[in-house]
Amino acid sequence: MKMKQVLSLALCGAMVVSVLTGCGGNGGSGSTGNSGESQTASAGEKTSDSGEDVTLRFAWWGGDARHEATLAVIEAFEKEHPNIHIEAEYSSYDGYSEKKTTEFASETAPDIFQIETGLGPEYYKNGVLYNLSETSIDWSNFDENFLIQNGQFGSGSQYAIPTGQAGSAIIVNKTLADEIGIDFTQQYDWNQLLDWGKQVQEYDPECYLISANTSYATAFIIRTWCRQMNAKPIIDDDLNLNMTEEQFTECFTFIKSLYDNKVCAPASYKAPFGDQDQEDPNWIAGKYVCSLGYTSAVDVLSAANDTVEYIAGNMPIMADAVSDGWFNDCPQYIGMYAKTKHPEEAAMFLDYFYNSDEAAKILGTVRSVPPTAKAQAICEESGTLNALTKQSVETSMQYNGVSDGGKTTSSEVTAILNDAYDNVSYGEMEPAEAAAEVVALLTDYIEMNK
Amino acid sequence: MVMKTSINTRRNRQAYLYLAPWIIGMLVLQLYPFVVSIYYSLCNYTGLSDPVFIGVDNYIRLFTKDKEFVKSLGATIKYTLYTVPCKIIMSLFIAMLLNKSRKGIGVMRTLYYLPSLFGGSIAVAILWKVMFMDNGLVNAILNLAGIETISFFGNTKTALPTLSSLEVWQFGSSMVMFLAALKQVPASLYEAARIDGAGRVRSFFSVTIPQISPIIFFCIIMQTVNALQNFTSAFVITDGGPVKSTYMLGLKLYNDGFLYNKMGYASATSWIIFLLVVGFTLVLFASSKFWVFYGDES
Repeated sequence: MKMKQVLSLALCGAMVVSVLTGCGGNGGSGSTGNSGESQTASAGEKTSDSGEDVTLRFAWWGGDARHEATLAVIEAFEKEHPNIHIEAEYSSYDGYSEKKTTEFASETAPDIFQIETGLGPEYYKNGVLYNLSETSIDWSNFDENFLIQNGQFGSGSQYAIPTGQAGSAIIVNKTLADEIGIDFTQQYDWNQLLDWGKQVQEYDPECYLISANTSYATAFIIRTWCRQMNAKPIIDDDLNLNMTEEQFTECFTFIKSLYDNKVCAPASYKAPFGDQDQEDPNWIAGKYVCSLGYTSAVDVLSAANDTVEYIAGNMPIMADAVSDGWFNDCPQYIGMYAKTKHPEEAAMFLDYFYNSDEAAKILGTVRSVPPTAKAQAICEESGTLNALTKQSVETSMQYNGVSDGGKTTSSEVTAILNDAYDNVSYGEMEPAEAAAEVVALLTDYIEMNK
Repeated sequence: MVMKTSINTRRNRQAYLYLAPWIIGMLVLQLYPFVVSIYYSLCNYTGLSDPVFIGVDNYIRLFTKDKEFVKSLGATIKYTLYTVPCKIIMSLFIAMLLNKSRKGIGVMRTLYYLPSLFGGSIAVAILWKVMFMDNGLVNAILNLAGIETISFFGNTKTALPTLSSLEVWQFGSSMVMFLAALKQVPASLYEAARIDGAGRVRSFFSVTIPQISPIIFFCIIMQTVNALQNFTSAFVITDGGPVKSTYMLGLKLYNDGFLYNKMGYASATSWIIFLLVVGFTLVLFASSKFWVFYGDES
């Protein structure tokens, strides 16, 4: 009996301990400040690691190729720095950013983490990013202007490092385009897409000019429309709404005509695939002439059907555009948590990740074309630079638009624009009605954020 | 006497110690978030900075400015109205089929109960998504029967019913309760009904239903509470689409809180869901006196 009681008490104690430790988290970082600026002064003074055993956490999202390459880089770094151990936290994008939100709130965010470009400015504003300019990271391999445009968020200091060069892209099934007589290498305007769409339908009613999903098409059409008409983002950093209701109506009328004229595959057909166009059997069967998306998705899309030739097409520009609107920025950032306990070691890893020859060789183009000329040369030499990805990045670099990353790319504004796109593409709302609603919602968003 | 008191005290201490994991878990993981969410719902709180008290502004905004909330509320209520009756009818029907003494009936009962074991898991939601895709199993069967492909999750009219069918498919727990209840119905009542000239249908409505009405009532309440809190299937399968036709309140709460960093607003939504659950339950309780029959009533 006594033995039973002792055993029960022991088990009970173990459970209590597990509950307490499970709820406790890591109990904070020992730092007291809340902004990136306040965390960095002491780290900047250090130039090498302390030699003590340190464990860092590094979180990112991606596909298998990215996971394998990143794990290999971690392994190579750990070999050079046996006292630093890096715990990898990798997943797909689903739920990644939401998880970061909870980790920031509970102060349990990883030391190093990949950041979705649209969320970078919000993270900076909320003070969860470390000021990397104060660390020992070597910036000499980066183009200075590229860094200013990507990851400084107007602060003059680097708070996140771009993982590569990327932009919007049209990946074209050249084999099918040639058969129909469509040339995406010429410069054209938006209305040309309508004419080509009709041409495709005449060629084969089962084929469509464009494979478009809501999230990519919203960025591709609506946000670009505003940049081309106003040379400004829909909402700028000063919280001005730059796109008028008339301009929204015009843009939505164009989107409606894409669906009414069967230029795009029906929205109801595309919805179940989300933004994974490569999973659409019609894409695999080569029934689309092109897909609207990003340079970072080019290799996946082209891998879905290796029997056809793909090229990166030029982007549409409206006749009376005040800017071509297209720009080259980056597919993601990587940053450090403002409350990391080991800023020095985390910076060492980032320095290795971006500047070492070995890391460049291993990573190849798993995060698009690398951000430094040095890494690009290494990839090209080792044959790991995907030719189509490179071509699509080069295509996006020929334009002169300015990135609209900031309020326009925030989750809430993106959701408002996505909903409007859905309402119009499904025919649930007339363009004017959708435009009025979007303007009302964006005005409300601005009021709430003032 | 002193000896006995000391033994009692020791036993009490032991009991509290055994209960400690649950009590601590309940206080920290349930009661604290429950109470603190009332305060957050009255604040402008991003989750990343300190909450700022704004009174009932979040609630006013929900009902006066947020069109999405109204859509979401509509989708949640529709989902509940689709799911609960279908699930109750389905589980009662299967329970009646399985309420027989036949060879292998145990295996059949286990097989029918299996879907409930999977619960609201991600894997089952993904399976449902794949099965109902344009090139999925369900459409393949429809095509074989000469019916054209239906875009179940792409069409605003079919997405919500298809999502409901996943919940209905998991009818096992209600079925087991109905099975137990059916076995409690005295055979003499059926015999008396037969003597009075009642057929099978009349016996079902005049004997079976009144006899198992407390269990039906219990199942309706449990299923309603579950349906009003739906999140997993809407999140995994449709992400609230198309055109917000499956945008449940649970999903809206999640997006507001974790995607848009509006924790205070999301807390207000969670309290609306809570009040909705309480409201539905009260209505059901109020209606129960008209149709629920307890054996000890005169």
